[in-house]
Amino acid sequence: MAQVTLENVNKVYDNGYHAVHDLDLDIQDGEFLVLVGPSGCGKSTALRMVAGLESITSGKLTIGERVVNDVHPKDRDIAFVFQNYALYPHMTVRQNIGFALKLRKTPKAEIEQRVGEAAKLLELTEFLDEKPGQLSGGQRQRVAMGRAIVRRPQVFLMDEPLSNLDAKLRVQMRAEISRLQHDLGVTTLYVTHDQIEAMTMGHRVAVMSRGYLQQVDTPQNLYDRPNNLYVATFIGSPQMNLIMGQLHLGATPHLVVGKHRLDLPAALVASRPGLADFDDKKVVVGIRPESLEDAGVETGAPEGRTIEAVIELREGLGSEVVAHARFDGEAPQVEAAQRDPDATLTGEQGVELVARLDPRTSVAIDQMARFIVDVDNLHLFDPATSLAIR
Amino acid sequence: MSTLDAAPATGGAAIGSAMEPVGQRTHRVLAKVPTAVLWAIVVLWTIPSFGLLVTSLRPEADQISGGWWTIFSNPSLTLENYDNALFHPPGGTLPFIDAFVNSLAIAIPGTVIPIAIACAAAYAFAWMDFRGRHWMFIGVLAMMAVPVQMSLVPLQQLYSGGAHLTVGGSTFIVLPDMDLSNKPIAVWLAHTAFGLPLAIYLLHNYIAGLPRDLFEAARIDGANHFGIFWRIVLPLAKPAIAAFAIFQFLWVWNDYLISLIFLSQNRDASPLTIQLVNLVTSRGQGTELLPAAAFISIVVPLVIFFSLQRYFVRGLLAGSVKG
Repeated sequence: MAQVTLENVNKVYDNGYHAVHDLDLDIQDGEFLVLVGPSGCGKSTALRMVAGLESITSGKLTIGERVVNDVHPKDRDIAFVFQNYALYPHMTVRQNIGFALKLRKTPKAEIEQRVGEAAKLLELTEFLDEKPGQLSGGQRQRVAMGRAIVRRPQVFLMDEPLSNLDAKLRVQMRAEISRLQHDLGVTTLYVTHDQIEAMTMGHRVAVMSRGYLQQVDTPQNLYDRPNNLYVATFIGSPQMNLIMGQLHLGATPHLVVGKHRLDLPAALVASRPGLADFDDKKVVVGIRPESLEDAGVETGAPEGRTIEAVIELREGLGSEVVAHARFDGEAPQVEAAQRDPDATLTGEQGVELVARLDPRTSVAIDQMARFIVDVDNLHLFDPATSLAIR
Repeated sequence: MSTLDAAPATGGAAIGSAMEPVGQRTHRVLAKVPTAVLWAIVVLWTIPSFGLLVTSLRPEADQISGGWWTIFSNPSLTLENYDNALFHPPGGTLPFIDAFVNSLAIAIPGTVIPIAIACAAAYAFAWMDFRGRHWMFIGVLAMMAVPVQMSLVPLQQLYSGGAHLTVGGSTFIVLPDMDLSNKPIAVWLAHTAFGLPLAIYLLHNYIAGLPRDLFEAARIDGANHFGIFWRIVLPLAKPAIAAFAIFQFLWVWNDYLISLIFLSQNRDASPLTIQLVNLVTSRGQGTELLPAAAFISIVVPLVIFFSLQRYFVRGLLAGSVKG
């Protein structure tokens, strides 16, 4: 087992495209780290650089104690699981799993034994003599896993291994890969664009966007304390609601959003000294959907904690009701800011709020509803830099 | 210019029909042809071959006295012509059984050698990174434009005298005289040279279409270029190799020109095509054996065609349709 360290790693393609910028990442021995981001964010490139399938333009890559920048993939002691499995179509499952061992001139008896063990672990024993073409998607995926674990590598590298499976199988394989990684204790770097996979599987999650690492933290910390607007809106579904607000400190610190006033708890203000710089200035207010509750359900809605919005859509899910509402306030143009990271967020009138409400709620379409805002869990961002105000 | 200008003036309806792609229109017209017509064409095209088969089975007297259709009024069949052609040909001609073996001895190496070279070259052009790869590949493809006839004389000189370069009074030996003329290897080399460009082109298209992930997976599994080529590419390229092998084998088997020039002086090594011609020219004797001999020489192509039909279609599609 080994630790994997990337220091200031850059990738610039021959055509000048800068895919990965100054990536610093430290994957602990035995850790399951998930790299997540939209397509084209550089996450696959980063993974392929660790595997040795792409050259590293600058920076330092260490696996274990060894700098492996210029080491051939086969000598890095890694195993790679491909998105479309990349099974050898003309070989049986047994040959596919044992191929790497055969190339390493492992004795036949040992190959047989290790392939057998891997197959048993993955419940593939009965398919050992079939060709990949005869297997279902889930089984092929397991063969790809088998090919990785039979090598007993120091590091597993996985490139969206579940994206070709249907939803149900994906959930099942998600659990299976997590269990396998836990049992084997192999350091794993896992790439996905699916935040649910990232949140459920990773010990830690690294969020990437446009070639830059945005934040690395445990799933819960990413959710609770996003570093910037990008991470705040990427993690969580439905995504965080964002409203432009005016911050007023003083004796009773509060925010003004639209026509409403939200009092800020003293503890929140005290824990974020950075707020002092934003007195009487605009800030982006982030409210998670579950931080909004129907005032009609809770008793004693206090003054200074509520906002009102017109319900546009109500989706009953049994355990909760997801309500979409139009709030008369300013919406920050996050997408424009993401196109140009230096742009200051500007507002646009009318915000669509998404709230996850108690199923007893009586909100109805086209009616004005009153929401209690969980002010203890508000997120505040600097509109100029998109960074969280801490 | 005037013809181009005339087109829009012909009006909307004419443009509508002119817009229909030629392929579609041809298909629409051909689809209306009744199956019976197609069968009639098939029969018409088969009659000469059928007549040849019938004639080859008739005694000499019957062959001379009338056309093959007189078989219906005078039905007498014999295998004597086949026996004579194969084992007892008239005056000095090589028995066809030997010529048959000679043809195999030319066609099999003439197929295997270019394919072996072309597979390796196609892999290198498709998946190995080296300087000048693109231009070398274009150079190889350009060779397809060189007609066989143009290179016969230089090749014959090379085979029988080697190649020499005279610079300022002193002569250098570029290639020594290897005395290849009238040896089977001369024919193998010629067929290899003329088969390679197309072989490389077809196999390259197929091999380049194999998914990149397979190559990357094999690299991580520890395979070097030769390992990838031997264990991954060759097994997967089988359909394309088979398709090209059929074409090349038939082309070499049916070849007359190259054997005539490089091998015809060597009676004991010459193939069926040469012997077939010699049979006619030997003082009118043995003409009754011609139909039988012709049939002997097309046995192999027929067997190959009927047993490997599906590869013909795949070969024609190689590169255009994956899988």
